[in-house]
Amino acid sequence: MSMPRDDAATETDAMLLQRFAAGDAAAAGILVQRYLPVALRLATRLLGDRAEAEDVAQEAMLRLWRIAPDWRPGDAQVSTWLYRVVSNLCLDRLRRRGRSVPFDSVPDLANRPDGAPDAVEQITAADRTAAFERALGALPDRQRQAVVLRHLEGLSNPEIAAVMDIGVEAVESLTARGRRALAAALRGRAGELGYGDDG
Amino acid sequence: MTGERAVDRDDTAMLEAGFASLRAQAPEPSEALVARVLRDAAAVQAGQRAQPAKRQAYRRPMLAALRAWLSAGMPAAGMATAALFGLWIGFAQPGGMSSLTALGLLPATEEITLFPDETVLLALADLGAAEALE
Repeated sequence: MSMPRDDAATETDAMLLQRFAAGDAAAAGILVQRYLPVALRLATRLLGDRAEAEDVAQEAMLRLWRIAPDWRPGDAQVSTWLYRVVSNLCLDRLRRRGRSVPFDSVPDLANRPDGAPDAVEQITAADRTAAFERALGALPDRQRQAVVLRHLEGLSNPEIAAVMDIGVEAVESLTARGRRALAAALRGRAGELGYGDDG
Repeated sequence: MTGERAVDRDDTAMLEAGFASLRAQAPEPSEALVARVLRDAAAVQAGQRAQPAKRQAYRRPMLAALRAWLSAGMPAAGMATAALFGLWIGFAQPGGMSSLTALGLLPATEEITLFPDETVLLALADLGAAEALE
């Protein structure tokens, strides 16, 4: 099954939710195209586990379907609402699993069998991305959430504040600390990871 | 100071490169996931439609029973007949009542409700609305 096309790009989310609540199946398709990728992307980045992320994305969309009849045009943006729901579902799962982010599939460069000098040259962009993802996964939950929303989802600080239900200053503090922690984790391995060569 | 700035700049470049690589690898929903989500949507929509249908199912037997009652009690009855009958009850003088009282068949102080019970009137109105929609 392919993703439904968003032919009604000009239709607002509130209008689509209204159509959905009235029984219009096409509205569901458009909302899925708009928001399922967003939900899956955020969940994957917060959880580091594709299967779990899919479950979270599905649950978040289910909550959207259920809330559709009560959605009012003056309510929050659907994107903000969805970011909040996905974030909270992810944080719940992280708490349940004891805050161990399973970025296990990420290769540990230190354990590469080929420790030869030319290993650095063999480091692919995928390895570099995986290492970065691992460092991101090691951040405390709230820092990671803020960093992901800011630097990967491209939200403004006030938008992040609305999603996380905190003040803008707290967002700035979280993202700054997150960036510092990321830099500290990667700094010593910049050469190994090939940053500075072409990155 | 110059050294710190240089390091900061390098850190920033490294972080931006990392963020850019992650943004470029955004996961896309699989067809199976899309199907699951659309199935949920259809189920929720079906549930929302089912609720008014349940209420209708409750009302239908009531209307059917009322229609049966009307057709059995008043062979030529339709809504118009019932309405006229009700109107006649409202306007007609209760002339026969005094003679019934005089004969001792009814006590003089007895209150008599000339209008049909209000639930019957509501049901008649309901039926009229239902027939107007059909």
